Amino acid sequence: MHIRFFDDAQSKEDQLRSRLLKTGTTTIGFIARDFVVFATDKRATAGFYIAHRNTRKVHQIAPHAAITIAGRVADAQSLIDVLRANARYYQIAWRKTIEIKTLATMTSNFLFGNKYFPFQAQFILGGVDTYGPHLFNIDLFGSLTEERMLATGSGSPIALGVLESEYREDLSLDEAIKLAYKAVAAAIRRDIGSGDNIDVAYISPATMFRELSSNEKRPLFENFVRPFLPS
Amino acid sequence: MASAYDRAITVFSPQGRLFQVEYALETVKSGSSALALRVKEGVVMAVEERTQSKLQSQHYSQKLFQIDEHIGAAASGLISDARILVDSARVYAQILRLSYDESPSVEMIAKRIADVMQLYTQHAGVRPFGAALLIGGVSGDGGRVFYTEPSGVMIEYDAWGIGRGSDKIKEFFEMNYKFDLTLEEAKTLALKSLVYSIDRVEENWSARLVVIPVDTRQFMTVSQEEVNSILRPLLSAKK
Repeated sequence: MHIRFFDDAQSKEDQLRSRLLKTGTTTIGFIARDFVVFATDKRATAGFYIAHRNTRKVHQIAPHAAITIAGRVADAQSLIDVLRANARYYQIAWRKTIEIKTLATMTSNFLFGNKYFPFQAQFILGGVDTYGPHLFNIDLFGSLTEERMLATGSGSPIALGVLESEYREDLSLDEAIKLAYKAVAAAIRRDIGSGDNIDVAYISPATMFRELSSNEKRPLFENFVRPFLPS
Repeated sequence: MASAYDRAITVFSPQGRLFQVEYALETVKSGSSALALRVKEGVVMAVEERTQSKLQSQHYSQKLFQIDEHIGAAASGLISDARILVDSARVYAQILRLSYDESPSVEMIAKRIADVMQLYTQHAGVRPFGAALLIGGVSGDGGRVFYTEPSGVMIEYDAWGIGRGSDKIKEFFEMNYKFDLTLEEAKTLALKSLVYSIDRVEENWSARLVVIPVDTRQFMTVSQEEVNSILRPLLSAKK
């Protein structure tokens, strides 16, 4: 008789959670001084097939707020469309700029409302409002936590390693962008679910939402990707 | 079992008239004046503001509404009815954005409001809306202005006025309106026509103005300081 032991057996719930939460992607966000920086990879996968190499994973919700997505693309995109429509309605009907915590609560409520048929996506929502820079982690069921530094997706452990070593609250915008790019670049090297390119965006009181252009990312590519490419 | 809400309130008269709709139009005719006009550079909308009491807040605009980033409305008649219509238009504008991933055109919004108004003339247990709206905005190539009234009719105008001073406003427009005015000239024309429409200058009479320029496509409230600076010489000339 052959007895087999499963020492590393996970409960069904844990298996489900790990499969759902860490789907192919690396997205990060962090706050420094009075701004928020986001960086994401651009790969979309279907199993081992690279379905898209230029995926937009950081989306502007309002001039002063943005959200990154990790997980099932369709679920995330439709939620973002709904969030944008509701943010716009709020700003027109109440004639005031919507606060980041309000957006986060709206997202959380919407996700929890679908608890029995969840949206398979995890979000980093961040921006700048009258109370300063904010960053929120929102998981697929709508759990909401405010953070200073976040990473989501299958590449998040690696990115978090880089961020944990080098993150400081007083980074300049330039240093913050470099760190964000470096963290995603490191994750791409070690996670097959992440790759193809890196998007960087930031929200500061002076500029509101701004995405880095290809020209601006070129020196970052030269410093943090090219040296590691096979020669 | 027959219910009190089985019968429509708006029914045809033997002569083929809908009296409830006509009565609603009377409410509009006695409401405070509102106007809208479009020129090459954009759309201008204005309302007369008659604050009932000095205690009332100056900042809250009663009759000029924003519907979407690039569309606004000026109302005359029962303003609470107007508020409900505007809010449903605001929601509809976002639904259009979600469905078509584009800025809703002024026509789409105006038609929606007109359709709702029509529904309330043909549904059991409801009365027609007691407000008319001038819906103005920038979509496509330039500014557009639409008029909707309690009957559900929708008409596009270059310039139009509604409310108690509407005859005088339209008269002033027919003499002075031109499409080729600048936005600044259009603002002055709007305020001039409002001043023209009043019989005499009352102490608490004022006006409110919004513009939607073609270049920015953004609904913008003109500051009360600027409005007053244009109004002051016009009002003193009238006195």
